[in-house]
Amino acid sequence: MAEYENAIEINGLTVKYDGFTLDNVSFCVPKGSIMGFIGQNGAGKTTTIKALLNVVKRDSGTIQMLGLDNIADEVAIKEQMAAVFDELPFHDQLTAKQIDVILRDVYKEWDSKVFKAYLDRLQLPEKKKIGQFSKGMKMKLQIATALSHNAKLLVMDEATTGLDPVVRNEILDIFLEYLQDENHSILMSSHITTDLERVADSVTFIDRGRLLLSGYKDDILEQHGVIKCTKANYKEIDPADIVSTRLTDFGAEVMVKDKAGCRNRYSEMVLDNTTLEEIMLFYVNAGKREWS
Amino acid sequence: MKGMIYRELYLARKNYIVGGIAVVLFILLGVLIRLSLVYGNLAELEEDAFEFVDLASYYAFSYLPLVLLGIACSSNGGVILSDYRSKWCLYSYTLPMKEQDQAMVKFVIKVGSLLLIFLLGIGNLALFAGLSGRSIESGSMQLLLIVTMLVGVISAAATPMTIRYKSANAVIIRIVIVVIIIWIGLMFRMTLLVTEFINLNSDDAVDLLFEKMVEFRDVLAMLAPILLLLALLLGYLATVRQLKKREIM
Repeated sequence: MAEYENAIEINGLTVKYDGFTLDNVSFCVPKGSIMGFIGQNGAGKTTTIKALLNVVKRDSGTIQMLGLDNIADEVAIKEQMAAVFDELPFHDQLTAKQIDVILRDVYKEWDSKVFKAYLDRLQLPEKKKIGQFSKGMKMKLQIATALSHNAKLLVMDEATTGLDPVVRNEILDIFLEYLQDENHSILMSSHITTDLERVADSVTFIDRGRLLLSGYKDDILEQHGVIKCTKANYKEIDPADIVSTRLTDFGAEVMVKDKAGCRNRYSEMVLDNTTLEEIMLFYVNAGKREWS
Repeated sequence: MKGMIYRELYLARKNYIVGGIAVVLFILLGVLIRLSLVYGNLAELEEDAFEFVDLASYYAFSYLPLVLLGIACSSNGGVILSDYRSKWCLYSYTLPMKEQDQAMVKFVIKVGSLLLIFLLGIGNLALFAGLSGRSIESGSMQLLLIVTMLVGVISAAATPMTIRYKSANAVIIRIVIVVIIIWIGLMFRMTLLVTEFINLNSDDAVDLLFEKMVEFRDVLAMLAPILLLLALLLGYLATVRQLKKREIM
């Protein structure tokens, strides 16, 4: 495997469908980190991931994974990575034991002992048909499968959607454990921003096929804030500082992208810290400037 | 590849079981008819009717089970369609397997099934030949080869079509259309023979017709292995081509 700094490098990715275009998306997932890929439904997260996995043909751009080209070196990359989707891709009639039989012949580095250890840890029965598993159990099985062939990269598409908080927490703990090895990386798409606030090192926001923002999570949270003021006071804020403004019955909530500078410039106004969810909401509505 | 072959065989097992049971019941029916022709009330039929039932049942039960088994066992249509309905199809593109390997899995199963069907067909032929007091002639083996070839050709064509159209009905309609076209072609060829028959008496006409059919059978039997191999190769290449399109429902 080639040496590399970024587990994933996407440059100028464009994918055109009828009625939707993923337009010139570029971002990197540094090696040894988790990138949260955030966007509302239909923003282009799954399209980006499908392009990454070479399941959809891209119209332009380049993608490198683990230092290799995702088309020319597709098989080599896929030996070293695992994809996890929002639904279990195995037929309901199969059991975990049968999945072991199937996949140990597919992956060169498949380790049945590791798989069985994960099944035991996650309390998943080996011989029960998957169709009888709960949603949480199915997701745990997918993750056990993903982690049983020494994958260096996990690509997860809405993997925690629909899970209860206990199961989500368990799964997130496994991810953090997985990242103890600095050669491991994760790209995790989700609209559950609280999960990403907990585990992500960096985040990328996407909306309507366009990149809104990308960078280290802590930096983004540090740079952004929400000024809460009256509708009259809101007019005093320089438009260059504003991402967008939510007007409510009680006043205005203004997202600013230079929190430190705005704290000095608008010292009389209340400037609160923000969350990834708020950042997503305000950036998605940035085209409107004012919204409610 | 072994793991993927295991997966497809396991998921298609109901087809094999149901197909196997249907074939066994069908053969049992044939055995009962044969026994009735010897010991039962069918033995009391008038000579012409007896000859007709004897011949028709011999050919029907010697070869139709093979066709039924072929349809049940060598078609991977059910697995392909359920793969598209589930997320397996998407997931399979994340595995370190080329489309050539994925297609090879399906065609290895197909070839294995056809070999098994051919061998079982010989056994079935021996059973009904024995029950009807006939020996297994080269003509019977040629017909067996032709039937196996036809099952194989249809199966080889069905796999890439199922991937392309993602609907069993769409595949069946297209196969039926092709079969009708071939049938019309054969009928047209038969009408061209009318001029040869027109001046003959009925016995000579039947003899000539039989002669023509035997000639056709001999040629087709000789070409059967080549046609089957060609169909499997083209089917495999078409399957790879369809898989490379990476169309997911």
